[in-house]
Amino acid sequence: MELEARGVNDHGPTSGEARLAALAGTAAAGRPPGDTVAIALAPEDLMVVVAGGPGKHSAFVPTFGATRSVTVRVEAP
Amino acid sequence: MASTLASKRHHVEDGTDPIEFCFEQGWSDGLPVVPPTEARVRAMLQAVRVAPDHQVAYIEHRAVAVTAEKVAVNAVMAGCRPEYMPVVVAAVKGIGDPRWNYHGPGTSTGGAGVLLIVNGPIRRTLDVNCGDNLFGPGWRANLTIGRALRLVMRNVCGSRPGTLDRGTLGHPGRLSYVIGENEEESPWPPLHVERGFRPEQSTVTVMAAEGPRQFYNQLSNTPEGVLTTLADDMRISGSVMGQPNYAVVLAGEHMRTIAGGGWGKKEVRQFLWERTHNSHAHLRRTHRMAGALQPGDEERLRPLVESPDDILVVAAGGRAGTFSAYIPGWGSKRSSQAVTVAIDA
Repeated sequence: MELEARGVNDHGPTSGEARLAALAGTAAAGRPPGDTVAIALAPEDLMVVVAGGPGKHSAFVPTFGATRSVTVRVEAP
Repeated sequence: MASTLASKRHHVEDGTDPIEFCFEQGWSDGLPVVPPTEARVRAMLQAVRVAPDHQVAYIEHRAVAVTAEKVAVNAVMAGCRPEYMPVVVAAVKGIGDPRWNYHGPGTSTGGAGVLLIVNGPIRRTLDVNCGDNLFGPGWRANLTIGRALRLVMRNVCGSRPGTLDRGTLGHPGRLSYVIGENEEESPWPPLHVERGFRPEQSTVTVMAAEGPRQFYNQLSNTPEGVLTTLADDMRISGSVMGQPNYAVVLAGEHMRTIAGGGWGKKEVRQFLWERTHNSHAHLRRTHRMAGALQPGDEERLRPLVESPDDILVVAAGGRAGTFSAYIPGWGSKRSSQAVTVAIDA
């Protein structure tokens, strides 16, 4: 699975400009520059989690503005 | 008044933590509960002055009579103060009302919470939060009243995850989902007055509800501007069937902007209702509605809710911040409707 191989912490280009450039080549392809606003700078910023019970329901959870998600290893005693 | 308690007595051995004992019995929602001793249960019953065997509600689909004693036991476990008990009792009456229709929202994979909107003087008496951090933690009344209701559903009505509660995802509001309307700062009639009660009455409105969805508009200084953003957000949340209700919670800055433009709740409802229709074409393109596009689908419209009056407008939330929220109701109008119940203080 591509996402799994890449890992959720590998966000690709790190500078805002580089990531916007990357975005221009993907989500906004075929549209004039500056014509769209994406919900995240890059596809890798969408964290996909498989969880929940049976049923045809899923969810999305928007983040707050000025923050980044952080993953921390849990140290077992 | 008959005062014999009918609940089974449990003896907790020395050296056993009563809280851990309650966990082992399966009575908890995952958080520690207050052990329901006889003295605590009686204090809860005393607050509403009813006999333990008084039937508060009858859940037809479960064939369960919910007695005041069972409500009191769960209110104790949730951490309620005795003076909260009238609100819990009213909320239980609400979910026992046939219009609320317990089986659907209590069981469905849709995972509805029970949004409780408290109106009237009891908000101030009990310190029910109507302001900052409205849906968040920090207020005992908000957190424990809603928790008590969910514990009644779990422990009395049998709505346990994985069995008679089949919520696929649920949401955090299923722990507790209680807000008060900020009647003191609102320029509009409160929800309960709009729904036929007197201002001096206290009520609780129960609504089967998805999680709150916050929206943001810091640009507009007109009602049309703020509500256009809200309508755009609300519209795409609609289901094919049409929801029974939506709650719209307007916080301080938005409330003042909208009222400053001379708009009341009626105008808010009408504006939102008119601008939240989805075309059949949109519903088909986005795979919400089955089948290929048909001629006329662009013009064939479905409203979000049947009538503007199905949008419950509540003034609540912090004074600062250009944020408000909307809450989609669960299911369809046939499945469950919001119910307002008088609180007998």
